[in-house]
Amino acid sequence: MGAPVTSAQRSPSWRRYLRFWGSDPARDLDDELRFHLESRYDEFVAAGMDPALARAEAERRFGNVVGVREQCEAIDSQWTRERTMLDIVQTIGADFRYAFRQLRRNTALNVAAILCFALGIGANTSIFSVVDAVLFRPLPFRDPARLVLVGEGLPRFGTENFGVISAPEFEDYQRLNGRVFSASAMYEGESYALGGSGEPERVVGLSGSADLFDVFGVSMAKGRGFAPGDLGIGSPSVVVISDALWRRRFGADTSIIGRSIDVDGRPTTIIGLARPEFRFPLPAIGGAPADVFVPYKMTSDVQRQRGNAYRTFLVARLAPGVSLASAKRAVADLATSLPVLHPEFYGKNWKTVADAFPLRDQTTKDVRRPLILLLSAVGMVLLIACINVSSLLIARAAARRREISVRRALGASRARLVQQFFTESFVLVSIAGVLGVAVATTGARMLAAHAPRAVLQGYDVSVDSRVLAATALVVALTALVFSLVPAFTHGRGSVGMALHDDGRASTAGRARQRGRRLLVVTEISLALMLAAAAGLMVRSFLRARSVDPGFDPEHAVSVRVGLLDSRYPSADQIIGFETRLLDQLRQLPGVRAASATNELPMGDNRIRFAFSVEGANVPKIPIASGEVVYPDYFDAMRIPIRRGRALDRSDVKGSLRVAVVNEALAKKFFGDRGAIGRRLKSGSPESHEAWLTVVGVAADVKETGLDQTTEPAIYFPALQEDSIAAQNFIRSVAYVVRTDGDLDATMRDMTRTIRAADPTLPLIGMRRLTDVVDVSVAERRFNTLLLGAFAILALVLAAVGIYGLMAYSVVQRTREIGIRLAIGATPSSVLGLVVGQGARIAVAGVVIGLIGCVALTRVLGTLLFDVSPFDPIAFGVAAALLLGVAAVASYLPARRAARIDPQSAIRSE
Amino acid sequence: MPDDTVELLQGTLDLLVLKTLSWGSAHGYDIARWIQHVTGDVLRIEEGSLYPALHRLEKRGWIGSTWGLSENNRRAKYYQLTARGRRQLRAETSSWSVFTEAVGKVLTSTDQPSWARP
Repeated sequence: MGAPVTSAQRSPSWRRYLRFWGSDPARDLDDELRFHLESRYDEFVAAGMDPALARAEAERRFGNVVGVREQCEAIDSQWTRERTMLDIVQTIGADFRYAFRQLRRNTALNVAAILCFALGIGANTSIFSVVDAVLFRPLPFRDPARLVLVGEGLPRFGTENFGVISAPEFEDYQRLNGRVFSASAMYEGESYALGGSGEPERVVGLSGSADLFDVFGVSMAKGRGFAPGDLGIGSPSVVVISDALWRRRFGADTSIIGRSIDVDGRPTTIIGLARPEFRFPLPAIGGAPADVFVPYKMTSDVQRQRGNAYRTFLVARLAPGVSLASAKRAVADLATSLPVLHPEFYGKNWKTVADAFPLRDQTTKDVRRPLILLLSAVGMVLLIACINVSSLLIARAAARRREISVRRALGASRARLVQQFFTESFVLVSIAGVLGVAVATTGARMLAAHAPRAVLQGYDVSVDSRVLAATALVVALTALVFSLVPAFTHGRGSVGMALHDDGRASTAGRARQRGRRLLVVTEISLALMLAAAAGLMVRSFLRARSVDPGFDPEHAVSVRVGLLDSRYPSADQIIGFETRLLDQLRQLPGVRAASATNELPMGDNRIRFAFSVEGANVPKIPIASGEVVYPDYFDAMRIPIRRGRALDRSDVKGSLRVAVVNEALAKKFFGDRGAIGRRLKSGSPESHEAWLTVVGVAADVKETGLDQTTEPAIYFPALQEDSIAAQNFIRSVAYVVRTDGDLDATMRDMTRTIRAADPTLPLIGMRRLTDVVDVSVAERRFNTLLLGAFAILALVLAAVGIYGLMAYSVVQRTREIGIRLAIGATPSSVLGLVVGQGARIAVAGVVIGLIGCVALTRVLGTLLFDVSPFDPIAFGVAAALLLGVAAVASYLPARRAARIDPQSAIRSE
Repeated sequence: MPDDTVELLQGTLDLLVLKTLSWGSAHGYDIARWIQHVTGDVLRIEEGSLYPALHRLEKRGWIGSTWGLSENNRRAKYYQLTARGRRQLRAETSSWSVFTEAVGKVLTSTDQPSWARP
């Protein structure tokens, strides 16, 4: 029977070796078909047929052997494929069911792990959604990476780039359209009074040039944007409104286009409605998102401001193929040409430099540092949470050692075990992940609601798909890591040994304990670093808050009122109204003093301007903060006058033009000779402004913020301002009223008085002066609160970790403790033993953490205020807190250890 | 043979195999010889086509297989009917009866259709 089957031939020799490992389908098929043919052959031969004929006949009756073989192979392989798929699905299903059973088994442990992890994930997702919104998510414009901001600097005044230009210069920069920029636009942030239909209110707005919406590449939801015809001086007034205003004030009226509304007293037609996702400007490049957009009118007054007033933003879109570097060169070249082209505006030896910045950089440069700090801090919390969960899972894996060894003995491959552990971990972290995301959605909303305006306004903070994807990735990775840990700590040792050993005194068990101890030490050191960082921030915040603002914020209120130029067109009318109103306010019950100023300290609309001192020859023209104030201002604010006198009612038009300077200016520019009697004026030495005589030196006021340095400041009497300045600076003033009486009652009285004087005027920001001061440290407070919350979270997690470790250790050492108690140790010494062990671990963690704190200095750096990065108090409190937490966390298992019954302990296994 | 006849034969072949195996387990050669014997050699089918049928039936779970040794100590694959196979056999047998009865009715009918020509 050596005759081979025609088709199958001999199977290759390697196939034969495969049969040792299992069935060989190809060989089987060969055998089956060959059996049939040979049986038929045997039959024919037995019946007397010639062998060769018998073979031919057998094959003829069989049919096409090759074809049959192929058909069977196809059927078999399809069958194998289907069965494998089914197998996989069934094993995964079984794994999931097993995983859920396991979860129910060790409820306490698993709940602890899930909660730890959920907290870590939740905190991270919340912060990440904020960071994503501000730093990473693309701005809601077309191709936002191509948008740049052009800003100028004046070398005469210092090296900084102001980030803005002088409005008339926009026409010069438009020469770059086509070659360098595909479109460019200018804008200025303003506030506008809305009237007509509905309550009078004051809104944030923006006046911009015709291409404003084109630069951003956004289309209107309804209507149109600006056309060049809208910008003419005499053109009919038009406005584009934001989606938010549309919903809030107009109830989402679908026929909004063409409706009329009063803007600053002028009837204006609504020509466009912006899309809901279009929010502009953003913090740092123009302020809060605008509710109204009006065309910028380049009047002759504006033209005269060339080289004088810098408050206009210039935004442009790079032309295709143009790099940022070449745009930078182009604007720099153009800026250099400005004094040459318009010599009548720029003084001699004038130099302007300009630069172009990516728009995103400008919006993020101030907040990037604190945000990254918060993200790192919350990342550390997540790390601690992961360490905790790892530690718990190692303990649980140790308890299941026997089960695992049995399974391996029965033939489970390591890969199979890993797959199962992965499923268990995956179920665990998925539950935690879902919980965490739920926490995060609330968290993100709370953050957005309570964050200081300066950071988040205009950004859409939400847990979106990107954030969820990042979270899911973290979840998956940690599940993978957690699953590998127990699978690989079980490889060694014979199965027999594992079956007998319950993990207590074995070498592997000790190694595991050491591993867990190392993990706990790590998480303690991380927690210490967080606590120390929080401590430093808290001290900075307290220090900043306790800085003397330079005025007395207690017992005083303020409100801002702006006059429409339609009702009060001239400077005389403005001053007249404001003076009369101040007199009325002074009559109110309880009022000690009342005054008004163009902007309060720490307000948003600070004026900074260049000034020159008579007789001084300085290489760089200095800049001072300017305040235009009414009489009694220093009284109302209780700003001490150090020398000379305050501005009073004698400083009116026609009398000697005077000013009061602050100590910083006096010290810097007038030194020992004193400031009184010296003269200064605004602008460069060549400017035609009037010389002002200094009549007083006031104490320094923290104009920009409690934690900022004091700049030179000059106070001008409102009554002496010329008409243009008056129209610009004191059209809208903040009234300050100091009172003995109840502040709320005073606020009500003030409201009544102002409404009586002119019912059409909206009152803005009626509040206590203490709130004004608080707002200036609002961002610092926010960051500190968050960091503190994370530090507390880290401490809690570290406590859980220590507790888990100590509890397990006590269980491990039950026998040993029983023996000690039996031979005479007191329960309190056992207590001390366990607590001591916990304390040792905590001390190790604290020491390592303190070393790690050295890195904190680099990270926190500029965020600290008046606090050394090695502040011993902050570090000491953090260390003490951590040790205390460790002691408490060790105490509970220690108590249990002290209560062990020696007899049963010794007998137990 | 034309394709549709092969189709028909395939279904019928399955039925024959199931019925054959209802007598007990057998290998492919046994099945071929039994069918040949019972039908008096009337049904001449290519014996090779038995094997794809057997593999298909096994895939569908109507029969199972084990390897064993034949009478002359050769390695042979024995098939047996499964419980599901038994149920399938019953179902197909009854529908076969229905089929043949229907065909018989048509062939032996004496009713003339309306369009019949003498």
